[in-house]
Amino acid sequence: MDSLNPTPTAEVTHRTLKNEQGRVFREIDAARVVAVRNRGRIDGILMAPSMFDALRSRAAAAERLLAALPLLIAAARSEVAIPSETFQALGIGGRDDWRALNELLASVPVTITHGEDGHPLPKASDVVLQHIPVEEDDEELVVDADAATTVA
Amino acid sequence: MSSEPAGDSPYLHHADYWVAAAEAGEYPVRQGDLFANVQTANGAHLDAALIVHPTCELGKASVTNVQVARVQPLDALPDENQRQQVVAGISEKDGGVRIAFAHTFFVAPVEGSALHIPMWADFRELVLAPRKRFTPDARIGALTHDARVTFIRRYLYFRLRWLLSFEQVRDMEAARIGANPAFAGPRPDWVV
Repeated sequence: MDSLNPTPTAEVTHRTLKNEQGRVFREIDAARVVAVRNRGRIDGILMAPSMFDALRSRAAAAERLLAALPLLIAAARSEVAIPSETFQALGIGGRDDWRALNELLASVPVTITHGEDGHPLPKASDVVLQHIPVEEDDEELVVDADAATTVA
Repeated sequence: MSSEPAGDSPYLHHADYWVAAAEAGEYPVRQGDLFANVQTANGAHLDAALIVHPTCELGKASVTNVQVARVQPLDALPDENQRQQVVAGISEKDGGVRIAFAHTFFVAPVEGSALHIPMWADFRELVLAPRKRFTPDARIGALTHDARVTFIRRYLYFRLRWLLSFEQVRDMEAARIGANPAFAGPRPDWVV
């Protein structure tokens, strides 16, 4: 079985779920994805934590890829080299042309998902900013040069 | 007419970076403007530098030195992939789009000047240089208001790791400029 195939390979009934929890968890352990059937229809899915984590991880990866996809497609179409590890891994190249790259990025909407260190970025675009005009004081500091020398 | 990057793209089209030479005289020297052959306060020489110092400080008599960022030609980076990351300001990895080399700001060529080459400013290499040398006549490129928004946005991320949108930074700039009666030179068309 594909380790990330979420198709249930076992079923339990509501009654079993309620009365035989030990058996249900053994089923989850063995089958990884178990359907809960009630009166002829499936109304719940139970899965092993490892399966849930793997699916969640794959969904996040798909969402990330969705953000990068417009850029990747545009780069592939225009045959412009872009800094992409996916393209590198797939052996997809392109011409090294700063002008074409700049023009590509100026025209294809990209969504930045991660910071320089690779951590997901918080959604700062939701933050409401407000400029509050203030009067600035133009007074300058008067520094005692002798005292400054002493500190140094 | 104003311009803006597509989506979260860090930079504008290269043609939208600089005020046209014929109009540049109307613009006072500001943060983000480009100069060549800069002598630093300690006597070092930079082939090119971008003003990082806040614009409102540049006219103050007590400011004798201004902070500038060293600018280098793109060709100074021998690695093709690194050059692309500097031009793009981003890179793709595992399907995610991440900030690339946050300490860099891509500097487009200034047509008809000695700096008609693609470059990058290095926010890690900030130095002081005598203010008196930074005059409109000595300036190679006057950054457009829109490109300055991208500059501020990039600088904010480098300094504070805040990735604000282009629109957020532009709105803040619009409010700031709109409230400043001493603002000199043509105003951006996004200031009400």
